[in-house]
Amino acid sequence: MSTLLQALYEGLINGTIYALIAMGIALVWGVMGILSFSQGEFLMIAMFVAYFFSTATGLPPIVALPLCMGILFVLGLLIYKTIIYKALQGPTLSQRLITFALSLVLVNGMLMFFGGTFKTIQKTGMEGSLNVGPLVIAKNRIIPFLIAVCVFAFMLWFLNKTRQGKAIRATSMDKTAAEHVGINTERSYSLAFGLSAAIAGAAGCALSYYYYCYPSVGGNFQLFGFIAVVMGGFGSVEGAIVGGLIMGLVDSLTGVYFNTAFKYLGVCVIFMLILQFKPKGLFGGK
Amino acid sequence: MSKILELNQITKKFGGLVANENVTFDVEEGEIVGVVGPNGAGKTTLFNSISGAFPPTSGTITFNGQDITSLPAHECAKIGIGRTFQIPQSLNDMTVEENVIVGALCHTNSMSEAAKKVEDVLKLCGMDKYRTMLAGKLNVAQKKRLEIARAMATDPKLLLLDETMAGLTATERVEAVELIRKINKMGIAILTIEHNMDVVMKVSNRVVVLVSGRLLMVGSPEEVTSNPEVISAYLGGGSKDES
Amino acid sequence: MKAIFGDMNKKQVALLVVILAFALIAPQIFSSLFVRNLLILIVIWSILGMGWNVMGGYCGQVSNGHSMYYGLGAYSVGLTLQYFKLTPWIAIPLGMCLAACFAWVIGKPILRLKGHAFAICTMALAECMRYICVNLKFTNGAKGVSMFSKKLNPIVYLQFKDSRVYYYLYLAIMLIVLIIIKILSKRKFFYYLRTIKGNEDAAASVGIDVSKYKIRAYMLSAAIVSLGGSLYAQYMLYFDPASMMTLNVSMMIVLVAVMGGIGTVLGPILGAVIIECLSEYTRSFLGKFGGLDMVLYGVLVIIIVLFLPGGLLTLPAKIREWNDRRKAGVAK
Repeated sequence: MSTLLQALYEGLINGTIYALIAMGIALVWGVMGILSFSQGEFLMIAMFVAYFFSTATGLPPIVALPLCMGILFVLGLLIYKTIIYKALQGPTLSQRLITFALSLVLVNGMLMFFGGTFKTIQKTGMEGSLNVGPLVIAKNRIIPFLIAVCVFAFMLWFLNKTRQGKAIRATSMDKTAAEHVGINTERSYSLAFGLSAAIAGAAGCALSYYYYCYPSVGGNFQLFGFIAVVMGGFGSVEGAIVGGLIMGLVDSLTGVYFNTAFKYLGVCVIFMLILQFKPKGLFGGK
Repeated sequence: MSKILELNQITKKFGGLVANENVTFDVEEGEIVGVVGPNGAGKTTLFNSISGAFPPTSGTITFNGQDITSLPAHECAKIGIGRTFQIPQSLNDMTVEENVIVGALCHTNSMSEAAKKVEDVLKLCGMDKYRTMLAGKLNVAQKKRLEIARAMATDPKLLLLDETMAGLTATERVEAVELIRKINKMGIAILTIEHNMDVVMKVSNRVVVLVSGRLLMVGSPEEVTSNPEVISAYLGGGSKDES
Repeated sequence: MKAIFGDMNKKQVALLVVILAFALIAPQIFSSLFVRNLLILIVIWSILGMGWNVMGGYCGQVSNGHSMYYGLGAYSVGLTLQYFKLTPWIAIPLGMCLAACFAWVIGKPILRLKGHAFAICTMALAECMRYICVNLKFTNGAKGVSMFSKKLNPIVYLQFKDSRVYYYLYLAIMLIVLIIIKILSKRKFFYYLRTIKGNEDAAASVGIDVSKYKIRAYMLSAAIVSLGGSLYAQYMLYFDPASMMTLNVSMMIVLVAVMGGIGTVLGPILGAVIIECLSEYTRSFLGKFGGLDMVLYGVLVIIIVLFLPGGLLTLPAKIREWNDRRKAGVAK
């Protein structure tokens, strides 16, 4: 019983990271229809930022959160303006391939400059663990969890309550109609891309608390993020969060009760089952 | 004359929304039947039920004596129900000729046989001069003609035309009416959705009036135009209860 | 012959003959191992690209997980040799059948998905297959499969010392695949696939059983890619899941088909030439700078895809367009 509880708890905690990645993917997918293969790399870059910040200053990674998000936001905007903007005029498949090639550039660029060794932050200020009832709570998971919850809350507030957020949502629903009512869709696009990079930035900062950082770390998280987005309902930000949490649970439960080797088999089975009953994902309407 | 299509108590629901309710009428062989009704009356939904795109929630559809209620779209095409779409669904990356070939391949595996069929159909529809053009480059009127040509290539016994006149200029409309008559003369029954009342009255043997998903009446063009309920449905734009 | 050359003009046929002649004498001109290796890789990747193209280019269902069939092809020659000493002459067609059967089984549920969702599903499945291959004892795990043995008869077991033998054999196989696809491209099957790509509703309205044809396309596509995988394994005589079944391989297959000209008969071959030259040359010149080669490769891919989204076969048309625009500019 306590094994199950522990697995559920860890699944949910890991799921928040997947949910963050998925959220960024869903935002770009929903607004501009691109399946962005560079999302995982944004996460990786943010991890490097957090790592270098922490090792240089000795401060915990949380202090680097604004830095991570800021750098990634700017990087996202730059990439949007230079590459994605032009790619949007081409076919969908070309857009996907361009983001994939971009991810090759980012991964190998980082490899070139910083090498492929695994790096971990030595002093996060959150070593050891707590015992809460039957649960063993590793302290280094607490802050990542809090970061994720704050980002969820902020994004949901931003997309639903603010003017610019509503503009982004309107653009994702119907671009032409949005233009007709005077929304600057170009700005929605660039902002959405920048924000999705910034979300990945937050995820990277959170992940750096307990995960080692190396140039190709993003790939696995990204694929989980993709699957979470489809599970949740294509392009729905709320769905992406739920999808991410499900992925975390599947991940930890298969790890505990089966061989980790069959993690992806479990994921695929759940994935297929959900899509058999809800072909448009859990939150995808008609 | 025998009946080629019989609709019996067709109801189609999308969740809570009732798009068609207990619609019953039939089409005789070689007949042209017009379907009219205000926007949202459920005309296209009815077409989707007949052509198998979205089977009805309840009721039965009989084609040539065969129950086709739950037959999928591609099977419906095979047994002789051709259709066009309200918004032309041309295959934009293929040439006009290829668009029609695809239809002609419905009953044959041989490319040369299909090519022969295409020849006839393109001439019939007056599209032979555009044969090598990409369908994406056609204008609306040409695309609508191409839709008819593609459907005709499948050798239909019944042709469902969904607003083939919408968006056409007056001369193009005259040409389209001519084409519909020519097709009908070949012995093909036609069920046509049309907004332009003049056209419907001119070509149809009988007219079906749908309002809010329900059948208001079936009758000759004269009967329909003189019916006060139809007039109020059109002018009032509301449902039967309001009239 | 007419079925193959029927729709080409004299210039195109002449060009094709010149290319074929060059392909035939190329390994005689270039004696370096690097170039010969490159030539063989181009042939193998052409086959992979052609296989993907059936599904992605003609039928419009973009799979990002074809590395799964590439790996399946490799394992089917590798493992049948390891356990049963089976000759690849039987193992290769067997692998192709297996790939087609597998595609049939998983095609049913996943082909209901469209666009990005289908792509993601194929990626997940490919990753799942890789994990399984890495972790099973039966597949030798991450160690991979080594097929080389001096004792085996070279012709029965397709193990040659001279890489030119591989090249000519593979070139012949590629030409067969090419001719089959070229013939099919003028037949009902491929017309139907293109219709499905264009518009599924329209396809159903002219009597096309969309899901049936999608599954057939997927099966053919899987079988051809599996053939490519078998040929690769047979040439390298060693492979492991980490080098064959990754997302990068899947994406490379897509790139090969897209770069040349998606949905065209010759596109994948052109794409394979470009991609393999790019990746092999950047690796040999810049490989020692740990990552620089891939950075350059990525940048070049971005540039090509960004400016020629229709593939390199559209380059002549693009140049004409640029010229016209320049002339129009001058005239002003």
